[in-house]
Amino acid sequence: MVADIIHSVISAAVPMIFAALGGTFTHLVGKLNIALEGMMLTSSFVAIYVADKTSNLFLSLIACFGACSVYAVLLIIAIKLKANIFVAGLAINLFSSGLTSFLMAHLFGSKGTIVSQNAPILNKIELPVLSHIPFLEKILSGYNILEYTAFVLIFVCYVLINKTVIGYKIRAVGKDMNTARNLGIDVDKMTITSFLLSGIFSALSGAVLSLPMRSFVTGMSNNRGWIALVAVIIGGERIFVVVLFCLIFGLFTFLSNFLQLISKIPVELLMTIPYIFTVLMMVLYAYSTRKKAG
Amino acid sequence: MATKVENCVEMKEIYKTFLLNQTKALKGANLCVKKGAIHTLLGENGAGKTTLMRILCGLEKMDSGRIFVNGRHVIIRNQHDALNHGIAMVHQNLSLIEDFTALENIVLQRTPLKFGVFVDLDQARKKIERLMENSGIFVDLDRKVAGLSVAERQKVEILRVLYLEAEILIFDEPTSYLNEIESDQFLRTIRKLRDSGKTVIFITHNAQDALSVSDQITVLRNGTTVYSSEDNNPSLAELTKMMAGETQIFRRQNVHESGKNLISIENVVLREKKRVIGPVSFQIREGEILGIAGFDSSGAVELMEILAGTRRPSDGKIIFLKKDITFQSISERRKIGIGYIPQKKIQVGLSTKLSVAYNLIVNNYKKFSRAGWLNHRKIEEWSNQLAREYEIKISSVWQPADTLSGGNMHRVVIVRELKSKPKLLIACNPTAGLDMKSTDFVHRSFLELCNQGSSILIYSNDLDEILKICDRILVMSKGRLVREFKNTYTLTKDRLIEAMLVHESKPALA
Amino acid sequence: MFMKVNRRWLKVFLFTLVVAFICGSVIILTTSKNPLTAIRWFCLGPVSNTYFLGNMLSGSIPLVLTGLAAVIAFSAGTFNLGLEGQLYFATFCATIVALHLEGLVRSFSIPLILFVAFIVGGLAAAFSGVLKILFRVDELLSSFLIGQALIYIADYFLNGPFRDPFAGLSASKYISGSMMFSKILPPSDLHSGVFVAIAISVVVYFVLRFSNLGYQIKVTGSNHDFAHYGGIKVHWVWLVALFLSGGMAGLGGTIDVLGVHGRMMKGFSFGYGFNGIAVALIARNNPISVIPSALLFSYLEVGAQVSSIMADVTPEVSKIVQATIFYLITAESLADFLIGKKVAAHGR
Repeated sequence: MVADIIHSVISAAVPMIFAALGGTFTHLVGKLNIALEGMMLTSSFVAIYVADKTSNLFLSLIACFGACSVYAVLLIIAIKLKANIFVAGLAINLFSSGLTSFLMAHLFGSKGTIVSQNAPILNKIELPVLSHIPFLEKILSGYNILEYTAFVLIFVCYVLINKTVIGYKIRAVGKDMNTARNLGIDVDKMTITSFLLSGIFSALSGAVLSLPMRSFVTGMSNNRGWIALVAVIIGGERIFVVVLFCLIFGLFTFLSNFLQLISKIPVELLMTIPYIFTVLMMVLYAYSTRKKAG
Repeated sequence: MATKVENCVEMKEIYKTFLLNQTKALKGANLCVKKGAIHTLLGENGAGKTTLMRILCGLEKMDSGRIFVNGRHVIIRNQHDALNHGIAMVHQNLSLIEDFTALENIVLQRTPLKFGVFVDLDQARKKIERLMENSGIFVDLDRKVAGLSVAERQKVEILRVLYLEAEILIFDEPTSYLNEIESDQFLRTIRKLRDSGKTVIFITHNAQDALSVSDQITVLRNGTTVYSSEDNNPSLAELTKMMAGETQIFRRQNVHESGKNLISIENVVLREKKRVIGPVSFQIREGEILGIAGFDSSGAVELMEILAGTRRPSDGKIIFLKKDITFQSISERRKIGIGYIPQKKIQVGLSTKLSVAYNLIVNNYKKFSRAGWLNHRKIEEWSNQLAREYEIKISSVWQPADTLSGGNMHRVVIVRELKSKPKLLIACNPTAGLDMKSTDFVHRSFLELCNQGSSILIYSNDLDEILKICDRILVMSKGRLVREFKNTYTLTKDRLIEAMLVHESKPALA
Repeated sequence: MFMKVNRRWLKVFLFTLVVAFICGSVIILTTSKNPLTAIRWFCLGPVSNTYFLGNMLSGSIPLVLTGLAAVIAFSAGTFNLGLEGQLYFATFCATIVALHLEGLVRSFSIPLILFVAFIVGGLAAAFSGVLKILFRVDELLSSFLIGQALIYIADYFLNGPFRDPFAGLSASKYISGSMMFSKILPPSDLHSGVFVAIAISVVVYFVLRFSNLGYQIKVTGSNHDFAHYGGIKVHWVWLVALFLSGGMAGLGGTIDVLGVHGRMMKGFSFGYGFNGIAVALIARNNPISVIPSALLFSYLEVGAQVSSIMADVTPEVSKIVQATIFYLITAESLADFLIGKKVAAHGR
């Protein structure tokens, strides 16, 4: 039972983990990627659309990367033109919600849900190594390929940020852009890199929402992108803290879903749980850092 | 190299106009630097020294002119080109990333790699340790820059350019934020650099420093080279005259000894994570100019902030005109007559996007309002009058503050604080970065304010400034007041410095 | 100087207008089977008869108010992304109050209902301000998250205790007609609330430009360190600005309900909040320019609706067009570049 719950929590957290990893990269260059939400939403639609047409997971992911890269480029252009990055991000979120409902209506003639019969089925993969360890087997095994990818990418990101020259330069740009530029670091290149990386991770976060269910629902991302942003702000460059917070938010999401099944508390009130706890987290975090600072 | 090259850098007929405000920064400047020498580039603020050097470093593009390095005509398009010719600038407080360690900062520009992608800090550390041995410049490589003093940061900067294998090192106003001892140490450091075969170009507006250290001096004025020395040594007076023309130096005449008590600071303590400032107690009398001398690390700036109200003390009392103001906000303090010129004049003392007029009325906008509405006509009249009176060069009082030159922005801050006729004016480094004429103007205004019965508390890195205008001087060291001096003609800088060092545990001249 | 800036703004606005219609037409061209008719209705539909015209005008009213809400928050240097939630929750509360006010005269009841909306919306926004001041929690995210939570809470009441059992959807009972704004151009939706909206934008304009509070807001918004140093109570200004901002949002939704819907319905305000931010940006933070900007957004909305009725266009076209110009307007220098005019610096 406990193991099953942990398993569900992790699954619920994976889309947010992807999004938060994406958000971390732009946060490192000192820009908050408000567009995570929109990238996620568009990507989850594109994933289903291409998967439905081609029945190919790989092509579907490529299409998601493409879509999110377009958004990333739009953000980069906004930065280049010295526009307000928050506002550009908001525009992309609005665009994304408009675009997905437009395309749903136009391509599928539907307003609420599309279910794809042709999309590839993502099987749950059991890890043979763990098959004999009773508790861990339930927690760490039996995820789909995208979820395993998330686990691997957490470590890849850690190394990328802390050990490689790109991570080093990206951090330098984020900590002090003018100085980094004075030192001859190509600030634009680092910004572009981080936004493209952010796009790729957001694409994955969208895909992992819709592909396993083989369906897309209006507003599917359901503000996960925003909550991921909070994780990013709280965690900063400490990847594992970011992931930890995503897991905690995953727990709240799970709780809110779970209580809908077993209790008579109205759905609407349960839906407020993740938001209220997220705000609470922000307050607690802010309070603790303030205390530390004296 | 077969032939011996005498001049390692020559800049000929350099012209530069800034597009933004169409100012002609350089009008045919020339420079000729001997190899292995310390060459001082002397001039007032706005003479074009920094621009000339930024061109040499590839940070700025010139309109016309030619540059020769080691006798060969070169084109320098960016910093990278400059570095290829061995030229690098040691920036002033601008080019270190606070949150990185000294080591990370030094290697940022040229990072040694492992397997092509991973940063190899161990290899870099070995190389830098060797450099430290050779140059005699030592810093703790693993400390974050945020925790380093200005002088230590400068060493990090020097190590960086050495690490980049620069042969010609340019220092932009390196001593302006250093105290006397640190300056001394710094001058020794650049001599060491010269002796190890490097060429040093040293930008300053301090003629004294120029004379004490340099082998060659070039003086710039208004974007042209007005003097360039070979061997004949000019005198201080000659240099000063070449830089500026007429200046007046005056020293405070009347020393206030009587006068009522204006403000008493009683056992004020500030406890921070790593250090404690205080307890500090002192008084300021009406009509008095009190100076505080100390290093930046002495806690003097924090003390000023506590008095002005931007920082809360952990303990102690502040009594102003017999009223306890310890817990009053800055706005309440402003109301009862405390003015404040902050350390960061442009970042905190101004809002650069707002108009000059709006900047000028921030502490007294309520004077122009009736029933909650501002009278813009009156604001305009008043601001115009101030601008005329204090020679702030503007075309309209509604132009944004960031269209002004640095010196004029500075004036806006000072004029605003003076015009509110405070009973007590708190000033942090009021003239740092100003040229002689403007400094002179500030000092005169201070004296005038005092003659009307107000008091002034000044903290300054420039001990000459303190000796020039203060009646009484307190010396702070490591968070405590250590000495009090009456400013008579017998008081000298040495005695102040001696007191500043009382609690400095580190040997002063390492 | 005021006139000069306005002329410049007008050029940018016209440019935005042209881009919006070109963009919409291109989308219709590629998706419609009968593009020419569709485009004609999209571009001219809202002015083709008084019914559509009235709907277009009334649709702009909530956007004017959320636009003003965003303008006030921006001016003080704060981001209020919770407009959507503040509007929704405040409107809900105001509707409930209205339902209990049966029998009062209009000249008394409407101001009272609006007052309630203003206070509730203001408090909801000010809460983020309190978090910002006490804990330094970023108001950008907290206002959004709190806003979302408020939407769900209002939805709960609409679906539960306050649901009209005879309604086919989650909605409250109808407010009595005596508490509604009177219609101006029947059968269209246009109602007398339009004058309230115009009056409020004029008031906001004068307050921001000429009052002490406006000065404090502008100084704080441009550099809060400087404001604090100058003796302005920065925290207080943030709080007031957020309160006013949330209040405006609350008014926007409530005027819409009192003028058009007559009852609170689930999801009636979707998009007002974020579009309000877009409107404020197109207006370049000028409370008067908010009016034409809101009209543009409403025009696009109604244009898309008309062409979806008259031709085979999906009404979501308007959302895409709105988002596109939202994006383009953020790239201010792009617009400047395209109309070939350099930015004239203006510090006031």
